[in-house]
Amino acid sequence: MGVEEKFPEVVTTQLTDLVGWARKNSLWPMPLGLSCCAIEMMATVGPRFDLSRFGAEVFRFSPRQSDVMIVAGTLTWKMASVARRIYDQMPDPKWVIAMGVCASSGGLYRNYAVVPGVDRIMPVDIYTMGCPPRPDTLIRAVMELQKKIDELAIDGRRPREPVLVQ
Amino acid sequence: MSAESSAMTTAAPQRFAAAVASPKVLQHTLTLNERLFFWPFLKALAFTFSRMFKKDITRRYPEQKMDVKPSLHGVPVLVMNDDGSPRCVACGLCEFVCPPRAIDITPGETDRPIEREPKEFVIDMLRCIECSYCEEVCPEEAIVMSTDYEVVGRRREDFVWNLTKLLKPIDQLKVRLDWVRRTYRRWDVAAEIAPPIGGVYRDPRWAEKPKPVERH
Amino acid sequence: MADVPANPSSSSSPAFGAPVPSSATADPLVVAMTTLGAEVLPSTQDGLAVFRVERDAWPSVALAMKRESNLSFEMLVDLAGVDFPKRQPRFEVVYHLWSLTFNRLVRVKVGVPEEDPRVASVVDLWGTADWHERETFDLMGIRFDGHPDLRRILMPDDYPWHPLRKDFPLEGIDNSISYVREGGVLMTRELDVDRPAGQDTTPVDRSRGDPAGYSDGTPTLPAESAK
Repeated sequence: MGVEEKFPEVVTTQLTDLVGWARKNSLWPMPLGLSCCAIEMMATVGPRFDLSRFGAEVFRFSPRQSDVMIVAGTLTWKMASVARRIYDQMPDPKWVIAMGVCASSGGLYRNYAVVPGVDRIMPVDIYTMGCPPRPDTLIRAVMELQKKIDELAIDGRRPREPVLVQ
Repeated sequence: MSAESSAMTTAAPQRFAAAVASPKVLQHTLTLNERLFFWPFLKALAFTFSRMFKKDITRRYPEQKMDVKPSLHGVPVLVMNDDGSPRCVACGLCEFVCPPRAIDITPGETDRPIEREPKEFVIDMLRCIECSYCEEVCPEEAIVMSTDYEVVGRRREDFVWNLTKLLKPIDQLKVRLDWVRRTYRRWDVAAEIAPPIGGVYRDPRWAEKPKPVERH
Repeated sequence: MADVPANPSSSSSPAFGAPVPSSATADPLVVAMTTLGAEVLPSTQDGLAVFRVERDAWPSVALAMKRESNLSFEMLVDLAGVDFPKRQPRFEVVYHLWSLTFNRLVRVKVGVPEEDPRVASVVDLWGTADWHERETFDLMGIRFDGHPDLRRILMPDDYPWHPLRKDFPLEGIDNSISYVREGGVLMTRELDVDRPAGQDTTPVDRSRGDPAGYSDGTPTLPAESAK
């Protein structure tokens, strides 16, 4: 800690940059494919759109090994507890992409059974429009998430604080 | 033939004989060549290598975008006339027909001949499912689906588009407006009586004139 | 099918496979069901025989329909609840039974009043009824006496309403989240199962980003209050 205190603007900033660079280019998604959006999510990792160009092609079906959860589809209240538990099992730092309007706001389903947006049960970083979104839109969401990770502090949660120059 | 084997043969009918065939049994010990598995491995490598000279099917998205057709269901936008006013007359049909109830219109009065215009027109893009019902129902061709389809954001407020954000100049929407007119042919009669403001772009492929709709 | 003679006595075999003839009493199924005390309702257009059975008589009628050799409805095709808000009794449980022996489908309706929404379970006769009865209980609120495991099947376990009743609003009550608002914190008891009691700040994590500002008009709740 001593080095950081002596040269905060050099050591910490550079380390944050390095960690952020490593994190954003090796996002391992947890595919929570709940309905039709999952098909587009699968197409995104396919050869035509090739999410691996962004380092995010390693879809891990174990939440313990993933960084970003892609909620693709309609989340019902019955499923909500499961989704929340999967989110809790992911190691920090973790991010959530709400893919499609159903995951983002409930979308078409304004009824008693559907969660009006997964941000009711977990913090969402990126919202995505479309029913379902095209793979391009999901790639754009991943890029936006990469941009956001770049702006985060080293713990991956808070926004980066401005460096005080003494 | 023993009694047991004859019972077995009679148990399986003739037409199912293939289904109950004996499993394949290894007839010989593997040669060194087979054990090395060299040639199949090399063949697989050669196949992989040959893909390098084929055409790449990956579309590099941010630089290389989709070939957008006029029929794409993108983000709904409002048509802005040349003088900057919305074409919408705030009749509320799209608000009514919208399946997820994403549209919210606050009507107001105007001095223009149409007498009515939206004071505020809000579409919640996180509700919109891009079904183009609003476009189909609109009697004024005032709301159309644009070709923007990649809308992402970090906050839900960013997805609530108001009138200022929704209005788009008519020049940018002519292709889609023409597609709409061609698709929903009921407008052709009206278009003959009163040509649209500013004229419309006509794709030569759509030159053959659709039949006017018979009104009852 | 319409060429089958209306009088089954003229044919040699007992005519359960035949459609309902024009004179209802000639159908041996109708005769047997009437003997059991079922009320004969007008059959549907494609010849499906419909009966109404009193709720108290239903267990014995069901047992007879399964076991009697001249009925032998071995298979329960469907079980559903129907809500008629203005009728008396309000609910109906509709059974579709299939006789594999006679290749015959039949519909049986059992009226269930609103004050005492109970009906005997038929799980011990037809195993299919297990999840069907759970679904009917979940969405209609009709209890099935004798069901081995009458839990909700589609809605969360602590959901207080039965949403398929006609008087239930489609959008839910209080945007369907009131049952997860406890002490001002968005949560469900479901979400809290793997946490010790008292640490129930599970659902809304406002530490990064601001998930506030729901554009659908729902007021945003304070993150930490009443705790």
